Amino acid sequence: MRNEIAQSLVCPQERPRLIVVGAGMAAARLLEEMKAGGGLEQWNVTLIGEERSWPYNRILLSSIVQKSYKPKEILLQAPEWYRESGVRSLLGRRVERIDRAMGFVHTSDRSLPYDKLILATGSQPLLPPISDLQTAGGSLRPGVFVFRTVEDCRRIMDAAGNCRRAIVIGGGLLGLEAAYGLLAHGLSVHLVHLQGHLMEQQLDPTAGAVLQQAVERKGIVVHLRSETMAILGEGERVEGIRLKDGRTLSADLVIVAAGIRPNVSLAKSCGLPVGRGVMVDDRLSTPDPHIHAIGDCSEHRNQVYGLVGPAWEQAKTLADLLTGRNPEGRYPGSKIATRLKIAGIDLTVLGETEPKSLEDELVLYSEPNHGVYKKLLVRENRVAGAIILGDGSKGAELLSLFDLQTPLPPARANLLLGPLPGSGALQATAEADEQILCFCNGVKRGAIRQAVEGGCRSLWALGQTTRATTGCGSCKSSVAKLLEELLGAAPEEDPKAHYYVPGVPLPKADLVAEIRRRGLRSVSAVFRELAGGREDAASKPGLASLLKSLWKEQYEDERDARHTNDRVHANIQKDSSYSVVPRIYGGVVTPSELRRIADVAEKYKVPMVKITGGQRIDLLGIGKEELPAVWRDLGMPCGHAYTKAFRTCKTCVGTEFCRFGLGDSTSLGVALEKRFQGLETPAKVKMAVSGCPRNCAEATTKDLGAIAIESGWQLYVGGAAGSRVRAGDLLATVSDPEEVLRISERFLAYYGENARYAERSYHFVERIGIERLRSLLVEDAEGRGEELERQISQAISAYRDPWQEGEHPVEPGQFQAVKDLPMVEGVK
Amino acid sequence: MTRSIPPGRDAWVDLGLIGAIPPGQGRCFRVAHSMIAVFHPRSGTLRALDAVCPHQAGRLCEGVLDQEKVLCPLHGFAFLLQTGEGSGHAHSVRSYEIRITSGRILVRIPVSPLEEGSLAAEKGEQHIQSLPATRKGPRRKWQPAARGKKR
Ligand SMILES: Cc1cc2nc3c(=O)[nH]c(=O)nc-3n(C[C@H](O)[C@H](O)[C@H](O)COP(=O)(O)OP(=O)(O)OC[C@H]3O[C@@H](n4cnc5c(N)ncnc54)[C@H](O)[C@@H]3O)c2cc1C
Ligand code: HEM
Ligand code: SF4
Ligand code: FES
Repeated sequence: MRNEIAQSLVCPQERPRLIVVGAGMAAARLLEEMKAGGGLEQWNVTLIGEERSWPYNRILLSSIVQKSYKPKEILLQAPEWYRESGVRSLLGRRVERIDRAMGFVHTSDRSLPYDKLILATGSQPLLPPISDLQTAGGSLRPGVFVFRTVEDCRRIMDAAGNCRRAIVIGGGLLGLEAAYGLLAHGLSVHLVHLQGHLMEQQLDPTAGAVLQQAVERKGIVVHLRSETMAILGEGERVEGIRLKDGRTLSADLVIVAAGIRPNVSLAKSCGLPVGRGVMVDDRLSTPDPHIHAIGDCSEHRNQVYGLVGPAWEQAKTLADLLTGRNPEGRYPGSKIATRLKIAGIDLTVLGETEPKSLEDELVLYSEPNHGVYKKLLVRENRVAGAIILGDGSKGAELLSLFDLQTPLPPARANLLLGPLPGSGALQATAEADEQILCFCNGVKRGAIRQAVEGGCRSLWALGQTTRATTGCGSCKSSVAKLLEELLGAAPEEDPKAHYYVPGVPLPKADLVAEIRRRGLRSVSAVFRELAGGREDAASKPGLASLLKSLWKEQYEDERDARHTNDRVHANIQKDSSYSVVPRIYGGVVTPSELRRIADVAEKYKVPMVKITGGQRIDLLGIGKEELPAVWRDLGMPCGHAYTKAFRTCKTCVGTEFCRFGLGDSTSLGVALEKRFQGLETPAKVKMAVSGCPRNCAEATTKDLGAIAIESGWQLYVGGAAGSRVRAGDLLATVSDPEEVLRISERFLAYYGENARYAERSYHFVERIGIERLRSLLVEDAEGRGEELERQISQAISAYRDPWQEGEHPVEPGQFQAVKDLPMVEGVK
Repeated sequence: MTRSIPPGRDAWVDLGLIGAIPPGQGRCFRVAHSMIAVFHPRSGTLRALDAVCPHQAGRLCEGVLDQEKVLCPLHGFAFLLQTGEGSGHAHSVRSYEIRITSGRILVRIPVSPLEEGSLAAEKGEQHIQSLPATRKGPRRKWQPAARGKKR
């Protein structure tokens, strides 16, 4: 490097001198583009960068933290490349000043003349006003870090080894990636975010909430609407942070990722116009024709992007201009696409995501419980923007429709669900070849096809040849899919998706057949006979539920196969206390029951007494050891509010009191609840009965709901108003309430027999189809009606109130405390 | 009531009869400042881990287990019974040596880590403190902002 410095000083300057300030992603791309199209050699190029490293792929820093890359592996070009391309590099040097009048840039120890100057100084982390964030000298205090450079990464990793708890301030793209990186290092991570939802710059509140669930599932604890006021701790040690609401969170490492600020001080001090960034026109030129700006530091048409895609498009246009390849080249602005790079969370955000006028079409699909949220904004029959969470392949598909601004097919739903119409036909066409798959490197489908035809057989080889997948890596799945397609190898499918439980390699029908054939009556017998003796904890509760429904009284109950809720018949809470919900048939309660509940609440100092959404009374915060006594004092049966079973039947008052009532909804509700109490089902089953179509009990959004009409009762199935809202389908209209009970029995039996474990009725009804259910259960087309009813009567007659176990525990320590335990004596 | 553990050497702590832990389940014991979960897999040896899940303080002794791992009852994170390492996530818990002598469970508490452990337990409590609604403790509730006041 010394030599190069010397060279740059002694070489006579014949060619015009091009100086690039900032050796980051935009700078490197500019040089690559100038070289690739020819014309770099026209210039005498000097690259000056403050960081010691050769330009590297900054967006892979999170991968360094997540341990999968070494710093050397993320260089954009090998060091030789710059030498071979005739680029002189001054690394580890900061440009202090620009002298526009003389045409010089000054570093601390050099002054270099330029004919063209390119500002590619990037941006730096924004530091919010937090007290004790910085030392008196102005640097970050020990234990507090930012996340921008490879140096930052090294410091974080050095520190992370000795830390256990981390806090990340900022819930944007960067903060999330940093948080995940720390998690991968084994730290427990709390993420503190000022706004009301995550990634509020890119996402709407709903998407933010779905993302939050996904992130929390990974183990990151998220605190929204939390403003950090101060860093706590003495001297060299960080002990935590204090929030505005007074809460403190403890941590020994804090990362600030609260946004970025373009590096504009150089431009500002030499009198160039600066808004948020260095202002440039469509030629990426400042008003001084000798000075251009690209990348994070530039502001174009009021946009400061802070993303690599726009930086690369700017680099391309500027390269065209500087090399004279296309003197008419103009940069029109970028369409923005962002992807979150956290393993297992697919999130793509494109363009605009809120409608602006009535003509804008919004297409929405969401399944929050499964981490899926898709939102598409269509304008003039083209993709104007989208949020695609939880579906990597759709994200990639829409990205290319967005990027190419392809006119859309009329069936909008297909854009979000299922395969795109005509995507098969598209494959051979030239248009398909234009589809960009790797957006970091702008690799088109055509290039991949050519590489495969040229002999590439592996993803790795493809990356080496085309650079596809070597950027942020988020296109890996779609590129891998295309590779398989082109190679003609059958795409592998994960067979586990079809198993009833992950630990026993059989789909439900085969599993049931084997269990029956071999007479397997316990969970451990199933593992022994059908899984090679290998137990799987996650499969136990599902198997237990299946076996119980198959064998009824002959089922050999093994307690360890149950979730703790089902061992102690109460619902575990976040603080390891339990909640107790006594059965209140149809929501109709007596004064003496209320009095007993009140007495219990006082006697056991129950921290919260709550009326539930299902018309029940919930006593929350009860210790496991107190359960038997609480049950005894209540003297009411178990309400099954903790398990996969029939839960509650809500009712309205109906003909008994209501002046609109058409049917006796309370009596029917109580009857349904008495019939089905304790019935275990593949997933929870909620019911309701309304006395007229005003439907005060909300029966149309229950798994099973009855509504009185003039001529009798309507029975609805498959409704839901939880994470998903679905109106139930009308299964039958009957004249006699007995019929409601009968058809309900058949439905529940058929559901128990055919649903997957944890499959709610709203999925089940959709999967089977209401017509089929009607013919089977109401019209009795296959003559199975009575058999189904019999199955239910058997199951019902096996019912015992599980709270009786309070008096007669079935195993040692069943109701042992887990919270305030006595200390063990007996030290040897 | 409790005898203190002599410093400078490991201690084997008697946790009682093995019959107290039904096969396939776990039970929780408090030893000095630590909560220790002892697991009795249906096949294989007994195992002991720290009982408190580092995720959000779920009690691992309440989890469903198999020969290799236990699933936390709160959010289902898996921990290997032998080492306490997390499986599929980055958290982990400490594991303890365990042996059976005449039907009694003995767990070895390494003394210096025990001292550390007591520190860790204190830290752990701090951590739990930041979680809302611990039973019967003061519950921190959201309160609507006072109206008419400037923010
Ligand atoms: C961890 C992380 C993850 C990211 N992930 C994504 C992503 O997934 N997708 C995406 O689109 N974007 C992402 N970004 C943003 C992306 O990295 C930037 O948009 C991109 O690096 C911008 O390139 P640039 O060349 O403008 O700036 P930089 O790459 O920051 O380069 C600027 C360089 O200039 C140097 N410099 C500054 N001032 C001077 C001076 N006076 N003298 C000499 N040198 C100077 C700096 O030290 C720096 O090396 C991420 C950023 C980070 C930090
Ligand atoms: C750990 C968290 C939760 C606990 C302990 C809990 C507990 C309960 C209980 C005990 C009931 C009464 C059910 C019955 O009577 O059988 C209930 C009803 C209900 N819960 Fe929750 N719940 C939780 C989370 C949620 C969430 C996250 C939602 C919504 C997204 C939700 C929506 C409902 C609704 C809509 C009802 C009313 C059901 C009805 O009308 O039949 N609950 N909950
Ligand atoms: S549903 Fe009908 S009968 Fe029931 S309370 Fe409402 S109006 Fe009255
Ligand atoms: S507390 Fe253990 S998994 Fe959440």
